[in-house]
Order: sequence, then C-alpha cells, then structure tokens
Amino acid sequence: MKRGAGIRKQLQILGVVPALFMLGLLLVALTWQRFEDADRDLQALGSFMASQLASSSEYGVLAGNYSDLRRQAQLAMQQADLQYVVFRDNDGKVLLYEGRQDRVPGTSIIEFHSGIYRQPLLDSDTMRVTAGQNDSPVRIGEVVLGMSSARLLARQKEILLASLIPALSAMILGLWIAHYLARQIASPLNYLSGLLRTLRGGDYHVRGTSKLQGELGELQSDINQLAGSLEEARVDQQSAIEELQAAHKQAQTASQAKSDFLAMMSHELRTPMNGVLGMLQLLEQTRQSEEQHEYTQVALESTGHLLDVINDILDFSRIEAGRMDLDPVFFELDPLLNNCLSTFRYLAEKKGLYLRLEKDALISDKLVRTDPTRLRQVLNNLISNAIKFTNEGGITVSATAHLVREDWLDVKLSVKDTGIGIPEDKQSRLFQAFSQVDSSTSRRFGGTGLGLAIARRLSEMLGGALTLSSSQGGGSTFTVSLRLFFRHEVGDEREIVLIGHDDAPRTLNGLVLLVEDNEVNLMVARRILEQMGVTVVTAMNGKEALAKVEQRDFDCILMDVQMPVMDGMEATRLLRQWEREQGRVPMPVIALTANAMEEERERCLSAGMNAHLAKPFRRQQLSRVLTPYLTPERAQSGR
Amino acid sequence: MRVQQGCWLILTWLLLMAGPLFAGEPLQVHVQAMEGPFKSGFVNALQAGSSDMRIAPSAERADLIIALGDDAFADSVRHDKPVLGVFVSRSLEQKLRRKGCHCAAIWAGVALNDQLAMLQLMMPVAVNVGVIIGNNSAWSEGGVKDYRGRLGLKLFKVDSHEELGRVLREELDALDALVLPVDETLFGPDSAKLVLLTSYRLRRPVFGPEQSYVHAGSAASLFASGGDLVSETLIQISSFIERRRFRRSGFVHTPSVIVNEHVANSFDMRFHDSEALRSALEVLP
Repeated sequence: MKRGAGIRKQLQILGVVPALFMLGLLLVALTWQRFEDADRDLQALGSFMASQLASSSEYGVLAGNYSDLRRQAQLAMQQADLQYVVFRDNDGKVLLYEGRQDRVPGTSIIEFHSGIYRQPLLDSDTMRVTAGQNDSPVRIGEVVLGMSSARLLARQKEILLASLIPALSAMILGLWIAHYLARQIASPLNYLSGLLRTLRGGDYHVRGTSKLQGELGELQSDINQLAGSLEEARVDQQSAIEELQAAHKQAQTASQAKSDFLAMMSHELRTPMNGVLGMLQLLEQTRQSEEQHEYTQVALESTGHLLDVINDILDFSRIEAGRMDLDPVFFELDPLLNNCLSTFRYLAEKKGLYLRLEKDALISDKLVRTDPTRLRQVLNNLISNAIKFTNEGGITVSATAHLVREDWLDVKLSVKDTGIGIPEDKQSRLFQAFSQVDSSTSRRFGGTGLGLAIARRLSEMLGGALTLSSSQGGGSTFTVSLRLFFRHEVGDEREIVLIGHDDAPRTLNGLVLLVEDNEVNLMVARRILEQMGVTVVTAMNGKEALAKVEQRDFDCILMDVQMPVMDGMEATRLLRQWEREQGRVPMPVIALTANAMEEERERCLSAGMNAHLAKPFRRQQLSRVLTPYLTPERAQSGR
Repeated sequence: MRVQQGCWLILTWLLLMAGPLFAGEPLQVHVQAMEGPFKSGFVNALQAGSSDMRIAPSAERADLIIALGDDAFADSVRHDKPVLGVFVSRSLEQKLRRKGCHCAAIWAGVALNDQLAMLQLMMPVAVNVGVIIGNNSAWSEGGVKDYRGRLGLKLFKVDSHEELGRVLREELDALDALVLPVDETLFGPDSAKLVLLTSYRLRRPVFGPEQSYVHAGSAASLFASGGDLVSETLIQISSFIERRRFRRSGFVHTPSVIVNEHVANSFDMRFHDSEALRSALEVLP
C-alpha cells in the first residue's frame, strides 16, 4: 500500500498553507501599499521642496542674484536626500548648480521640477495685487531638485523589515498552532490506528482507554465494541475449529481404522483364501474323476470370483482414500491389448462369443506413457463386464488413435458388446459405486457393482474419461479416451515395460527357502514349488530362516511378512546386513504376503526384498515371479 | 568717456606739478581707518602711487590725515590737522565743513550725471527715470533738480523703508527705470530685496547705487572702486603738497562700472557685460 503524508502532516499543511498564503498576500499588499506611500511621500516632499524653492528663488532669478540663489540652494541642501539643485532661466540656461560630491553609490536620482514665476506685486498693507488683477504670474525659469532614492530605499527596507518581523512571528505562531492542533487531532487518530493494528494482529483483548471526546470518542467506543465482537467471534471460531479438528481427527482415525480394517480383512481373508486356492490347484493336479474335476473347476472359479471381489473392494478403498498411486512408464500399447484379449478369450469362447480386436495402424510401433497396470485393469474390467452381460454375438475391442501434435496421441479404447444394453435413464447410475442397473441384474449376473466405478476413477486418474453409449437391447459401447505422450524410438530401455502373455508354468531348478508360519500355506507353497521342480527348505519364522541362510546358500527365499518371533521385514534387513558384513552375493528374497496393499509392496522393497507376490497366488504367478531366479541358466550363473 | 579723459588730464597735471615737491621734505600722511585689509591695501597703494609722501604712524606726527569712511573722518577732525575724507558721505563732509574743519572729501558714490549717462547707454529709449533720495544720500535734491539732460527725472524723497516700499509700488508704473544714489541708510543690504523685487515684479530695471547692489540685482552701476579712490586720493595729496590746500570735494572722476548680465539680458538692454559698457562709456564726450 502506497503511503502518503500522514494525517498529522496533512493537518499541518491544511492549517499552515492557507494561513501562509493569506499572510503572504496580506504582506505583499501591505508592503506594496506602504512602498507606494513612501514613494508618494518622497514625491510629495520633492515637489513641495521644489515649489518652495521655486517661490523663494523668484528674487534670485529675477535679479540674477547668485548669492541669493546659492543661499536658497544651500538651505534646501540641508535636506540630506537632496543631491543637487539647479536653477535655470526661462531659456534653459543654467543659472546655478549646487550639488554634493559624496553621492551614495547604487542609488538613483529622482528629479523634481518646479517653475519659477514672477509674482504680481502685493500691497503689503492690503495684501492685494497692486499692478492689476489680470497680471498673472509669468514663468521666468525653473528649479530642478535631484533627490536621491537612498532615502526611499532605506524607507522601503524599514517597511520590509517592519512587515517581515511580524509576518515571521505570525508564521512561527501559525506553525506552532498548526503543529499543536495537528498533534491534538492526529495523536488520538494514531492511538486509534495503533489500537486497530493491535486488533489486526489478533490481540482482541486490547481496549481503547484514552479519554476522547466527540466523534473520536465514539470511534474508540466502536472499536472497543468491534474488538469485543471479534473476540467473541474468535472464541466461537476457535470452538468451531476445535470441533472441526476433532471431527477431522476422528475422520482420519476412522479412515485409518477403515484402512487398517481393510488391510487386516484383506490379510485375514487372503491367508485362508491362499490355502483354499492353493489346495484346489493341488487338487486339480491330482487324478480325479470327471465329476470331481468339474467340482474342482467350479470351486476354483468361485474362489477366483471371491478374490476379484476382494481386490475390487481393496482398490475402491484405496481410490477413495487417495492412496492409489500411478506408476507411468513407456510401453507398447499393442501387446497390452493382445494380452487383455488373451486373458478373456477362453471365457468368451466358453460362452460361445467372439472376442475381436480392431487396431488402428497408428498405434503400432509407438511407446506410450501411462500406467499399464491400471490401464489393463480398466480394460479387463470392461471386457469382463461385456462378456458377463453378453449372451449372443460377441465383443469387439477397438483401438483408434490420431495425432494431436507430433508427440501426443489421442487414444480411444472401446469395448463394444452385443449384450442386453443399458436403458438410458439408468446409465447415469452405472458408474456409481455399489450400483448396478437393477437388483435383478445383480442377482442374475452377480458382482459387487464396483467394477465400472473403479474403471471410471482409474480412467480419470490416467487423465482420460470413460463414457458409455448404449441402448436397451442394442448392446453397449464403453470408451476410454486418453491423451498420451508417446515416442517412436526406444530410448531408455529401463523405462520400457514389456507386456507379454502369461506363460505356462515352467520347470524350475534350484534351492528355495520357504519361510511361512501358517502350516497350510506352507504346505501349499511347498507342494506347488516341488511340482515345479524346486527343492524346498522351510522355516517357520525369520529367525529360523536366518539361521538356515547362514548354514547354506539358497537360490531364492520366499519370505512371509507377518510371522511370530521375527517377521519377514526384520529378517530381510538382518540378512542384507549379514551379507554386507560377510561380503556375500545377495540372495533374492521374494515377499509372499497376504497384504496386497501397494504400501506393503513398497515396504518390502525398501526392506531389501527383490519382489512381492500377494496371496492368494496362482501357480502361474508364482512361476513367473520365480523364473528370473530359478531358471536353469540363472541358477547356474547365480551360484 | 568724459570721465576717463578727465582722469588722464588730472594725472598729467599731477605729474607736472610733482617736480617742486621732490625738492622738499616728503609729506607725512596718516591713514585713519578701521584696521583691516582694506586699510592696508589702501596704504600700500598710496605708497606705491606717490614718492612725495610718507605714511605717518600717528595723526599727531602727520601733515595730513586721510580718513577712510564716515567714522574715521568724523574722528579725524579733532586733531586739528588737514583731513581728507575718502568715501565719506556728502552730508557729513558738508556738516564738518560748516563747523570749520580744514578738510575735503572724496564722496561715497558717483555723480548723478555719470550714472544717468550710463543708464542712457543701457536703455537708449528710456525717458522717465525715477530718482529716490534720502537724508543721507550722496545726491542732493538740488543736484537732481539741476539735471538738464535728455532724461526726464522724477525725484522721490523718502525717509524710511516703509515709505520706500510705498513709493516704489505707487510710482514705478509710471517710470521706465529707477536710479539710486549711495545711501547707507536707505539702500543698504536690508532694503535691496525690497527695492529690487518690487521693481522687477513691475518690470522696471534699477540702476545704481554701487557694486554690491548690482550683485544683489541692480542692472548696472558706476561705482568708486578701491583703485578709483586711491587715484582720486593721490590727486588730492598732490594738490595739497603743491598748494597746501585741498581740491574741491567731489565724487571720483573716473568710476568703475559693473553690469548684472542676467538682468541686462532679461531686460534686453543694449549692453550685457561690463567690458562692453566700459568701452562705450570711454568714448562718451
């Protein structure tokens, strides 16, 4: 804020400037008037002297009496300002000049002329003109007086001094009065201003206590009332804030409790689920009758559905809690689409549906940058839904693109089905969580109603949008629109994720330390690993695992996280420390945990683990995560 | 001019008569006067002008007493010796002569005819000329009346300054000019302004009576200067040495002249300066 002159200064200026202006005007007028008077006095004096001298020098001029003229001149010269006297006859001839030698320098001469007249003769007895009434005076010469202006200048100086001294006194008095009045007015204002500043600073306890009268007194009273109101408002506000903070804390606590509950539920559900799924997978490998095999497959499928439901709930919770983080990398869109379709091809064919992929040529040979895991999740969700709600015909996945600029691509991924379609009035509810077209749909097709909500949220998190075009009985088309940064060449391979098909379980070689406290899970994992061809050594907790590690090397360690005695995290940290101290090659450690939260994965990696596999896991997933460490060539080169 | 010629004739006569004096004792002359520069100048001029006389330190030891002024003249006659009064009033000289003094005098002033001759030169067209005299004037009433020249003189006899002013106011209108005699009582410094201012306000020029009056404003005047008086005194001394008696008392024969140029100009007179007037006077018959 630009600050001008203070009110005190303004009041001083207001008080002084007009007064000074008026004083100046008055001073100039009076001085000018007195100068005029002085000049007039000098003129009058000069004229008077000249006329007097003229009248008294009549005889001298008439008679040519220079002595008399000189005497007259010398008498006149007694006037100090008179510099010279000149008598002239009527022809202008100088009869007498009487002047001073000591002329004051810097002064000018003012001349006064007066005619010398021959007067008519007066009768001294009767004082009447004796020569005749018409005998008027006749000019016989003139007298010239040279008057110095020194007297006038001195007088003017006196006048100026006499004017300036009172003016100066008046000015000083005026300044003092203005200063005093300004202080009288400005001090309370400054006081009130300080009071307001204090209030602005947040100190609402302060009150104005100055003994002010009139408007300023009222202002102080208003400020005090304002301070009181502000104080009350602050108390109320503080109370409200405290309530809000308490509510927020409560909400945070509730949210944390919810998250903790979800994590706990996830862990507690996954642990037995891992046993169920593992046992079913083992059962599937046993010799069974056709009926048994059919039961086993149904059980596996049901377990898969249950796992999907659990994953959906966890994802939605993470999205709602803002804990869903993206991991954008450059990857080829083509393999991802193929992989998605491959995942569902078996399911579609099983329902007698076709599943086609139509790709724009522009997509090929381009590395786009986004989170492939989440994009795959969206597409899987859409394709899964399409298969679920389509009984005849099939599903067409199309990928179109066009260049926005030379390095940006607008991509549209559409999943079009020939299913039952969605009534227009119910489409708006479709993307709401826990919502399906109607309850009969839920009953008929199953599902939690979270899939599309999650798909839309993830699409938005990826910077795009998920839209629906559908009519009842006319099928549905879900379109994901994304604007993706891309590049042609493969620059930094570290950033590129290769998306491939899930390989079939491979035969693995090597010695694996399986650390698991749950006996069921221990047995499931051990049997699966042994079926893969791996030699398994088990431990029930981290401490026991460390003891075994110190005895011999392992090609890989599958480490549960939550264990008694010593958990997987602590065991891994101690292992890494021991390896550093011993100068040994680090052994691969893969977390095998029922906690599927992303944070858990990061915790594992930061503790020194190499990979993370959430329970319940499928045989293929375990095989894929172990492959880098237990393929024959790796196992040989690593040891 | 006539006066000038007279002077030269007298001087020639004095030189011719001086021869017998050289043969005898020098004349002891005492100058009686108030001490001052005029007296010392006068004495020196006398000594320089005549070798037949000696300055006597006192009247008792002198053969002749020369008294300068009325007071000295009146005082000198008590010594009972021949007394020559220089620049004394005519009335005093006549009074003392009536008492039987052995004395003669060179009167103060100049002769009326000389003054009127000068006036005629300055104002050739002037006709009526007023003459004011008092009891102690150098000119007598009879002398004025005896004038037989071209000018018409009108005599005014006054006794006081008051009467003088009245006469001037009343009579000047009828005159062309005014001529004044030497009269210390009537025409002294006190009355000069009255006379002159009154005359000039009425546009009538004043002539005479002597040098100071011209300085005061009179148009012009013949006057007996110091030199004139010395010359006239030397003539009397020479006469006394030769005949043991004085010549007749009278005015100086060769007076000086002075003109007030400003007044002469303003009245547009014939001569505006003293030299021109003197030259004109010298050639008068």
